[in-house]
Amino acid sequence: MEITDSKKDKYTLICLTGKLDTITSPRLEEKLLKIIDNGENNFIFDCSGLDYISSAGLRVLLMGAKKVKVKSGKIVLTALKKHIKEVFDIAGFTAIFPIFETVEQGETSF
Amino acid sequence: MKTYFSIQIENSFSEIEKVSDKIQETGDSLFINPGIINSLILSLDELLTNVISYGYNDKKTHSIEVSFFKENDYICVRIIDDAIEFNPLKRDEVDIDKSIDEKQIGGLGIHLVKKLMDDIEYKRIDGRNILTLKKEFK
Repeated sequence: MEITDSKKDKYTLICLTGKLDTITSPRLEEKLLKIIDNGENNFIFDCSGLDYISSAGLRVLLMGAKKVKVKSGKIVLTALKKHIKEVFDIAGFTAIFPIFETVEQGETSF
Repeated sequence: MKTYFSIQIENSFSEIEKVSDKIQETGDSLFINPGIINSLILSLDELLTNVISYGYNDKKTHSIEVSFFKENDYICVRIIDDAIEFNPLKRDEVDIDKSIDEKQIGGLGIHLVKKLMDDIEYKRIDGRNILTLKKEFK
């Protein structure tokens, strides 16, 4: 799992590559909490390199979304692969996360 | 019934990947639809994670058996462990239509397994949990 973050004008871009599972999710949680604690409320997750997500990864995203919502921020997801999108659908996450095909389209949310 | 593999893993998160790799390899060799393989890998990950996280009250190493077989029109995977009694079918349903504020962090894993699999059977025999997941083979 590779997690990179870069600060943009209106949001922080987080790129996920590889598997987001029980072993790797705590790393995302730690990073996300740190960035939120430093005052960021808006995120775009570029999931174009995300090959796998389990409930451990979904939990971190939900936790993050709850935290930023309190501060009127949001987490936008982009470029989900088809099988990842299916997991989001089953979990009921497609209804609570704004989802776009590309990062550029996601930027229109802010 | 034809068994394609049966492996023993230890109760450690790093062992789950061995099961995922074996399912991928066996599924590919049988030309099973990638969607079915993905569903089986995710379901096993969720259930093994549960067993390893909550199943043991001691710090000892335990062995968990995972087998993969075909029965009639179903691909089946079975988990046998000596963890505390846990029947995932008895877990309350998660209401996925809740808003972001109401949505709960827990219970998602079992919910995913129930939705991804076509049939799940649970038995408790001689101090062991025997859980069989079935997915229709198309």
